[in-house]
Amino acid sequence: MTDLDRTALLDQLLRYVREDLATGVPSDLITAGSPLLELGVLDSVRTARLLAHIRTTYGVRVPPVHMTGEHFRTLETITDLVLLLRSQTASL
Amino acid sequence: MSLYSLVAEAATRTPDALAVQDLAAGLSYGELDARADTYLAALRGRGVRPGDRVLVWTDKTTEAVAVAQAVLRCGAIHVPLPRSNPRERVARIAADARPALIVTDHGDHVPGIVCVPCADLVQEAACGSAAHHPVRPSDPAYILYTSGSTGTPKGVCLSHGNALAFVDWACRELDLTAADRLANHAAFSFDLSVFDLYAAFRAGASVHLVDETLARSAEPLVGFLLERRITVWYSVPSVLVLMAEYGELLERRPGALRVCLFAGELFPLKPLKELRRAWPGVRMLNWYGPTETNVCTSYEVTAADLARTEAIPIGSPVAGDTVSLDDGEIVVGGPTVMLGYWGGEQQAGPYRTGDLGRYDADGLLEYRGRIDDMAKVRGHRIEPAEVNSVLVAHETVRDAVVLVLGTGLDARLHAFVIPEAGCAPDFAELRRHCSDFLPPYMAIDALHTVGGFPRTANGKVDRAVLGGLVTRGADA
Repeated sequence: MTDLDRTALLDQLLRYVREDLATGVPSDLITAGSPLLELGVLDSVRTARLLAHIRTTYGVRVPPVHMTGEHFRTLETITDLVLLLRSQTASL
Repeated sequence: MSLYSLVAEAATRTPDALAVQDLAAGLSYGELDARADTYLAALRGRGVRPGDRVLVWTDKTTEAVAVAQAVLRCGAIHVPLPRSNPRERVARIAADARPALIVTDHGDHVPGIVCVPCADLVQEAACGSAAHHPVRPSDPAYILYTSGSTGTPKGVCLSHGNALAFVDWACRELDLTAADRLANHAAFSFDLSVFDLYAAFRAGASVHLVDETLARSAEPLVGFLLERRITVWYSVPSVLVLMAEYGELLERRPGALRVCLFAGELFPLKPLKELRRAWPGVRMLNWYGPTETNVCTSYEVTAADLARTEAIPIGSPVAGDTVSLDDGEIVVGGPTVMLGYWGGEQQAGPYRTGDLGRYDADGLLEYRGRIDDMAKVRGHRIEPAEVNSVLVAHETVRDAVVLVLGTGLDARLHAFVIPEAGCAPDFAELRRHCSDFLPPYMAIDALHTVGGFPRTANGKVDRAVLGGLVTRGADA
């Protein structure tokens, strides 16, 4: 995959979390900027599934050093992380 | 001997050896020792005296570890609180612990109490003395706040001697050396971290801190175990199950791992056997003990357990403790038993755990559940009454009962609520309300609105019937 822009990626991740992750949280509450931990969207199992989705769909493995509260606060910050990791992979 | 002398002694022996590493940085023993003295001088400058409590409300960082060492060197009492604890809960804990100050690594603060970021303390160090205050083994070292059945968190107060009795035993049992590399998965407020930190320091080994977010992510956690060449791992079983199920833990091989320890909840037999089979060269020990006693029994899981058809035992007493059954209840006496609850009576004699046990055919202790409502969610101890009290404080809720349903990775916190007249409690709203007052692991996972609670013949809420409403899929 190449040239994935931020808006498109954020849109795709938002759709994945709303429709496929079975969070039990009403989808209108899950927005680009909503706090995922407080809402209960990202418990350990759903975090694992989201990471697997990111790996298989975007070819990105999130290294341990990037697994921080800051990067996983909202879907926006996750989007930025995926873009950052993709650019690092691409430049290798 | 004290919990701070372990670092000072290792710094004398091997100043350049790695002591502690977080995701961003590492400190050698020499650096950790010097950093602790820097914070010690600053804490003294701030008026912290022996016996004072210092809340350390931070992420899991090398700086937080240095601050903890400084608090102990001051003769003060360390009260660790994870960053994820909301301000309201920190305030409630502070109201109980009455700390001299709160050390943070962020801008949040609790009204009425001095909150100082680590970075500010470092700037102030020049003014104070860095002489270590001598402590006796019976002096309190730290308070671990755990969920309380009265609705407020309660502080389990442990001494230097309590911790050292366990740590000394563990270091011998596991033959820990300076070459070991320990992972610290648990939060600093969880008693599992006492092993990770102080056993590492006692052995002059290194301890590798797992950030709260990393701690609940399967695949990167397996990556961490391998990249850091961890030799000793300690966590609740559900984390290992998560890593196996979603992080290819078994397929990726254990790397440098030689010891795998688990405690805090039952390890389901099937994934345990899979792990045992996959890692023939790794020692595996099932540890048991409430926060009030730390680890008091141990059972080593060997190839012989592959033939088992029922849960593994919690084993036999360790660390100089005596463990007995009184009317089925597990009772623990000995050097690891806490001083008492903070603000309460001193613990006199053996501690009654509230856990039920029995002996198996080989005379080993088995865990059989609780005598009260206390529940575990992925190893976290939860008193439903504490969650209840938060729920009923919400304007839409008249009464509430909280139940943990499911086990292992599937354990979920269910709230059954009776609404106030004309109100319709909303799950997302109540979940957000919980996260304002409770740590993330105590926030509800599901909401069921009911007209009333089923009662037993003697008028108590019939929790079995309530739980049945969910398992039958018939939400009222």
